Amino acid sequence: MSMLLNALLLVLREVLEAAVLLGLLWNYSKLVDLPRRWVIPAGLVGGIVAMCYAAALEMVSDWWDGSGQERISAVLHLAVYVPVVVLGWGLYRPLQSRIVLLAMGLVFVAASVREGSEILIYVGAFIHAPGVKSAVFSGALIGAGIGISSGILVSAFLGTLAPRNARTWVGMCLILVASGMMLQAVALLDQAGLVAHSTRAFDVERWIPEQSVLGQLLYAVLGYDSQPSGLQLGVYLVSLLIAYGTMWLAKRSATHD
Amino acid sequence: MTARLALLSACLWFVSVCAEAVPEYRIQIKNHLFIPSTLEVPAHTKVKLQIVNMDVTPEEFESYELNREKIVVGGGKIILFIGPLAPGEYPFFGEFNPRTAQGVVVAK
Repeated sequence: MSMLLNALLLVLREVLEAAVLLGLLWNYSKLVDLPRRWVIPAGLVGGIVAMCYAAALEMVSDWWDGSGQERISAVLHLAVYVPVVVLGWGLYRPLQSRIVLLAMGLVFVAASVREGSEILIYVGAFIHAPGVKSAVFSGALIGAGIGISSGILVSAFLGTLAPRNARTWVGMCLILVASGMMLQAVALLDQAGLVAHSTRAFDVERWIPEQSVLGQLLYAVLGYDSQPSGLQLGVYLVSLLIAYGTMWLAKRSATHD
Repeated sequence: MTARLALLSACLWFVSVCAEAVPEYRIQIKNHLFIPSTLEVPAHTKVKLQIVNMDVTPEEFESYELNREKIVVGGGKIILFIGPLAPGEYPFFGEFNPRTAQGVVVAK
């Protein structure tokens, strides 16, 4: 694979998740009548923290007997999931504006730190590599452009839906993305030896290989794993249940009011 | 007395389980190559991998088959656990330099 294509796919994967999340949150803001300018400070904070995290990665890697990266990443995954559960409730039952803004900001900052730090580390690795620098930078720019465009498309599509349907779609998409992160968080903890290893639950690698472009894009957005362990699958289903159950309860109680 | 002996035995057993050594293996990254590129590990056994990056630039150790992904900074080292693995071959690669950084874990 050429360096340009490799850079394109790598950056696309990283940007896509954050861009899709931002697109969903953008529509969420419209549905609950909140201004969208929270994106600016959240983006700035996410960018700054991503730079700090990338710069400190060597130190972080040594924390907690070498499991620092996994623990921090798992916390960032949780920092997306928990606010999404709150936001699911807020789609149907009013919440204080500052709670909603804080939740949305936290989701975007956590996603930006995770994805942004890896992009910075990757691109930074080739700054002093004259032979491949232009290919890597070009690929990274193209990948970022495709990722951002995808987020805009998601937002534009959701914007065409009637408000009632848009609430359902925005809520479900946020829940799917956030639950996928919990699935990946378990994989991280397994990698660090912090959870007991469990056997494979199923194998769909022959249908959608993880190495394929589709597999990588599904991984980026939904945390797709073609061979999840039983523990990963269990956590994913419980996460879906909690998040969707919360949203459903809010919708039901709003209907009965 | 019997209860105390039982409690002591349980504590000793717990400590022995915790102290049970996990086999440890080392992989180096040098000039964007994994050394060794083929790593044999015992099947059905949890294994600890230490990956040491001798290059000045970072690399990302990644494997779809092992479901592992971790960045190792230039001059740094990382630790990760794999397995227990069924007998077979599990390719891995360096995501930042996939053309050269390739390897395989062979579980026997």
